[in-house]
Amino acid sequence: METNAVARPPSTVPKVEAMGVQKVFYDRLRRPLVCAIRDLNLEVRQREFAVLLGPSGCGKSTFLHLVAGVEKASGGQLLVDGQPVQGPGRDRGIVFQEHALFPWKSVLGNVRYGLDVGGVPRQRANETALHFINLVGLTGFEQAYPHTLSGGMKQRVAIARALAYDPDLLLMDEPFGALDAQTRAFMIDDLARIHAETLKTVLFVTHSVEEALLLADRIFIFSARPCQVKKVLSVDLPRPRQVVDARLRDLQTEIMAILSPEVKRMLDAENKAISAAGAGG
Amino acid sequence: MARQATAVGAQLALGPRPRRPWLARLESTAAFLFPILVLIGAWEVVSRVGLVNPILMPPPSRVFSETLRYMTPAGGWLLWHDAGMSAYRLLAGSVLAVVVGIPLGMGIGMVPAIYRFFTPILSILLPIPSLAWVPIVILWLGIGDATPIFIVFLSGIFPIVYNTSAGARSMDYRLIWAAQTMGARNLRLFLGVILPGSLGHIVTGVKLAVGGGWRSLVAAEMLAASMFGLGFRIFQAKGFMQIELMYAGIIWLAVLGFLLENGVFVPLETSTLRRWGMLREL
Ligand SMILES: Nc1ncnc2c1ncn2[C@@H]1O[C@H](COP(=O)(O)OP(=O)(O)OP(=O)(O)O)[C@@H](O)[C@H]1O
Ligand SMILES: [Mg+2]
Repeated sequence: METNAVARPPSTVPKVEAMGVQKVFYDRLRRPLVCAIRDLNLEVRQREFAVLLGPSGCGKSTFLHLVAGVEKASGGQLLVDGQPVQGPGRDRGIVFQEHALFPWKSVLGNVRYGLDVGGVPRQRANETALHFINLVGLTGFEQAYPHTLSGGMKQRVAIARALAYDPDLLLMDEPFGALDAQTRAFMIDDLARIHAETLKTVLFVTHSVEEALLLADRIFIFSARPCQVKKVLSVDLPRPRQVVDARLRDLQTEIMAILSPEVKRMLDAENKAISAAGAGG
Repeated sequence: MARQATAVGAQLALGPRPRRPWLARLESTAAFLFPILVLIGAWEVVSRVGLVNPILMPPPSRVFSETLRYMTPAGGWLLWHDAGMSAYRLLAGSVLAVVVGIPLGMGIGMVPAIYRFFTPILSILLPIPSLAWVPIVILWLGIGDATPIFIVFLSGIFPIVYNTSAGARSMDYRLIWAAQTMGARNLRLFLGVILPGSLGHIVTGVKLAVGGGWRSLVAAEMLAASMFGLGFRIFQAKGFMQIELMYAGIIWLAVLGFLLENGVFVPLETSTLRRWGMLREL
């Protein structure tokens, strides 16, 4: 596995700044239910490929939703391009963890949607959409409806849809989670190339340390819920990167060592919650 | 297409030889008609033998021949006029219910203030059978088309509002999020995402509305129609002891109701919800 691209160095201008960001979910009666994020501080620079790693349920998806502007932070300050996030916008594209494809639109219709909304002429919208469908290896499935596709194919449609209308900031929530190793390797290559060739900033959530090391300029390791940044790691390996690289292996071991106590803490907390609920009921 | 191919393939591998499709369709039609024909046959016998009063329950053969007579110039095309009139009232009332009910249901499903305002009102109106309004509506609108149309509207508005609001509330909000991040707002978001995303519930609501409307319509026509209409005809025929005509009207009600379901709603669902995988095959 390798990434055939040489990334431009990220600039030092911040793209996303989180300062003391907090997210609490409330129940129907507005009683606090879960504190998903407490006092999160991080800064992602322009053109940077930032990977978020953390135990399941620690609040990574929630953070992407805040940056996308589809959910509101409960506290703190969240800036994109120096401006506070106020609702969703076309400058930030997101690939949701659960695809969120429109079931009533074909693959082509889904990928074209962002272009149609942006007022791109029909002919050009079609060409662009077909280009990205081809990029994710789904040529021949343009007219298929999402429910007839496999999980991995749906993920790829969602990726094509987010890329097609060319947002500045790409938010990707475990986009390669359902792919086989081979397809994933191709997609990692493509994404690295797209990132290198464009001026995009990428915020990428994954559970795969390997994926993180192949793609990231910097890796943000999140702690167990309520999530905070536990450690930021710069990955200064040259590109194209290879999984067999010894330095990459070393970094992998290092990250695992930081991550596993957090995963354990998260599991313990969940078990405690379950047994508490069991004792209560 | 691909799915069909695998289904056939699996049958080839496992089951008996696949049948020709037209044969299978013929078989299922026969299986559907058989119990109905048995029922009609039994009725014929019972009536001919005299086990029931043949004047009150004339044999189906005579009912059918009379039905045919009322469908020709000899019977003044009567049943066509009646069916046309009933269909018009059903359509008008249902369209009204859709035009008012879908936006209201969407509002209730999406805007908390609208939800809070209308929920109590709807909960006290819902238990009232729509036919209870007929006498009052006759005073408002008089005898004629307006009253049955309004009754169809009344009986249709509740299922549409309830199902539409349930559809809006249960739709996958990530689809709305996805559309918003691509820049969709207001009307575009509503028509392009929220409406199709709630369509499964909306179709159910409209189906219940039209089905319920059909029932209420017939009763309303008995009480408030002035000239034509199947309900009106059945009621009128009683006055002249035209027993066969009463049965003819009932047969038309059954056939039209069946056609409405299978000629309108099933194709509608097939071309939308089934195609999109939003309705599971049974
Ligand atoms: N709408 C919601 N209402 C209540 N709690 C929520 C809601 N969304 C998320 N949470 C809670 O917030 C926490 C963080 O969830 P989130 O989906 O961000 O985790 P994650 O880090 O993306 O996990 P995973 O890696 O498994 O996807 C979880 O405890 C979850 O239960
Ligand atoms: Mg997640």
